[in-house]
Amino acid sequence: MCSELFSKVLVANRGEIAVRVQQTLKTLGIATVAVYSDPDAPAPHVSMADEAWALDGHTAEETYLDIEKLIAITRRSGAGAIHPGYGFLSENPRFARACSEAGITFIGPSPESMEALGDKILSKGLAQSAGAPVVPNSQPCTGIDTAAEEFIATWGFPLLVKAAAGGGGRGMRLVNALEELAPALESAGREAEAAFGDGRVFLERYIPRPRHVEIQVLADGFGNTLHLLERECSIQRRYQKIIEETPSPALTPELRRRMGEAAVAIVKSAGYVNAGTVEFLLDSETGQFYYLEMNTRLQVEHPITEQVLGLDLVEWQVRIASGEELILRQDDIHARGHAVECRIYAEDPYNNFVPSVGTLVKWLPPSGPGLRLDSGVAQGQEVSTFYDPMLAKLIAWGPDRASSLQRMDLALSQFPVLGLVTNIPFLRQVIRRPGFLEGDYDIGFLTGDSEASQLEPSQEAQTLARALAAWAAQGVSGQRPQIHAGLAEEQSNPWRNAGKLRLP
Amino acid sequence: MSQGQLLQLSPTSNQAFDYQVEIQGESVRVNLDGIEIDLTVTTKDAQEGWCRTSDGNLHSFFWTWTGNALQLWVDGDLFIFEKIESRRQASRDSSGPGNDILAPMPGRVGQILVQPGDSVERGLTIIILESMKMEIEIAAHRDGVVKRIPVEVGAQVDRGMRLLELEEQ
Repeated sequence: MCSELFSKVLVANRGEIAVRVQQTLKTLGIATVAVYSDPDAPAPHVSMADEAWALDGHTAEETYLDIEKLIAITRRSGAGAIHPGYGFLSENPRFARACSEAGITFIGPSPESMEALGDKILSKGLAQSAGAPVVPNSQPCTGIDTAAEEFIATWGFPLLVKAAAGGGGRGMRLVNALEELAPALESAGREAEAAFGDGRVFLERYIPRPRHVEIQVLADGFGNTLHLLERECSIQRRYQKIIEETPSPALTPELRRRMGEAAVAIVKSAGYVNAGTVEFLLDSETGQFYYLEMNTRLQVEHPITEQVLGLDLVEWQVRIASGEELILRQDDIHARGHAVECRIYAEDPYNNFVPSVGTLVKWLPPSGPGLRLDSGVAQGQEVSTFYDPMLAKLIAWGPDRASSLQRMDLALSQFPVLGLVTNIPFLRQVIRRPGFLEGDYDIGFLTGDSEASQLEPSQEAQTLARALAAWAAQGVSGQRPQIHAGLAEEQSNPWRNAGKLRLP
Repeated sequence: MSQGQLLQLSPTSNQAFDYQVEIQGESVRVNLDGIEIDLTVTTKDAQEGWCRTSDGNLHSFFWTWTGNALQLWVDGDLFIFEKIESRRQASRDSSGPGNDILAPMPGRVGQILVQPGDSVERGLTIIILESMKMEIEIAAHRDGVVKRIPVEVGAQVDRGMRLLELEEQ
């Protein structure tokens, strides 16, 4: 069955995801509408769009979170649908509802299933009734109230404070003792309010050192639901995923099948339509898995699934939203090779990962077989403090795990960035660790290690850098460094002069 | 032959070193605190080049200046240096833990947890800075008594701006 796709779609997001969504829309022959805040005016998601509308403002609240502005712009632009990307309003049922009231298609699930599944507390009840095991949790609590006290009496410490609307580690705190609880509830609530516009928090039993394995699902409006295998997301810093891979080194075919079936059961019982992700905690020693939450949107790490399946998830989101039926069947879903993703953040790994801001003086991404870069920035762009510090995602595919990791390692060492500090050296160092190479890791892999001390470049590299710095500094004190097209260059780069030839 | 002093800010922080450089075309001889290094440096433009070390290996590098700060990318690692002017050397060498607590990054002052007159211990969180949607806890770098807080909640601060001043020890 084939319905008419939209002729124009507004992308209510920024950065790499706004670029990536538009790429698919354009390949489908759909005109794209970008929106942008004042600091984002020179960003790639704006310049690539067929039309771009200013949101007038700096902060997320004034711009990408302003439902009324977005609906008004969509109407004036004549776009028939909105793709929300991830973050911002992507999991906000009020936004989805405002879209449908304005006669605009929201490319994602219905507001009702978003409410049921996006709320972490409601969704756990739903998963339980679908037969999936869950991690015990409390009702939402404001300070240390009855809900909190009851939970503590049953499960004790340590525990996790989590945001009911959350995602991406925002509004989450590990609490080891009672006296830490009140401040943790308060700061998590504040962070959740700022990030999601919903400050509700709850308590959850803390399961030490599990793996975080999630299942991608796809469901159409005709009752077809399938899962698109797993993504292993256990490499996290401060609850923030930084490296993801598929297939997971921890899953047997049997475990994969069981987790996939559990995910499909949850999605079906919720009557969920469109792309979504069911997150599980996996105890890799026992093979026991627990439903954690469902993300009712496209995930940051969706490209690794696309790379091993040869599918475009955004395309399927658009097709499903326009009323098409899935032509894929579960039996068609087979992974080919292995894919890994590294999230490139403007964070200083040598200085406690504080966000780094400035002008991207150099941004020279690598290229090569099996590489993909989903980037939201361009050379010369200013990176500000207003939004998430993720600049881009580097994805490597290979016929097997060893080769995709080798491609990633090489690519990370061929990615010059100047003007601000990125976590690239840290990513490279993590994928070289023996535990990671063996696939033997869990979500505690990066906690408690003295990250910076392991990061130091070799003594040789330090000496070379200092020598080059001295050379460069000499140019500043007196004359500029001399620029020569000399002998060494001709020897090492025979193609340099070839550019001067003219082909007939 | 020229000489000077550089401070390495990153990855190894605050290590000053002396250098002497001799440049003859592409041949560069650098003396770093007594260690001699010979390089052949070829530049492609004012920010990009490659060099050959005496073992014959080629290394690609990129650099950029912002004022006195040099960012240098070589073989996948990023280094940051600062050129030390000779008249500033003395004061830098004597700098210990001072009275000021500075913003490590630009952001918005989210919360101020102490008041002038409060005694603080090293490591105590005194201010919460919000940047890129995260809360960054700023801690006291030494024991002391709060003298002055020149910022207020909601203020936007730049990197290096003074957040709090402690009484002289």
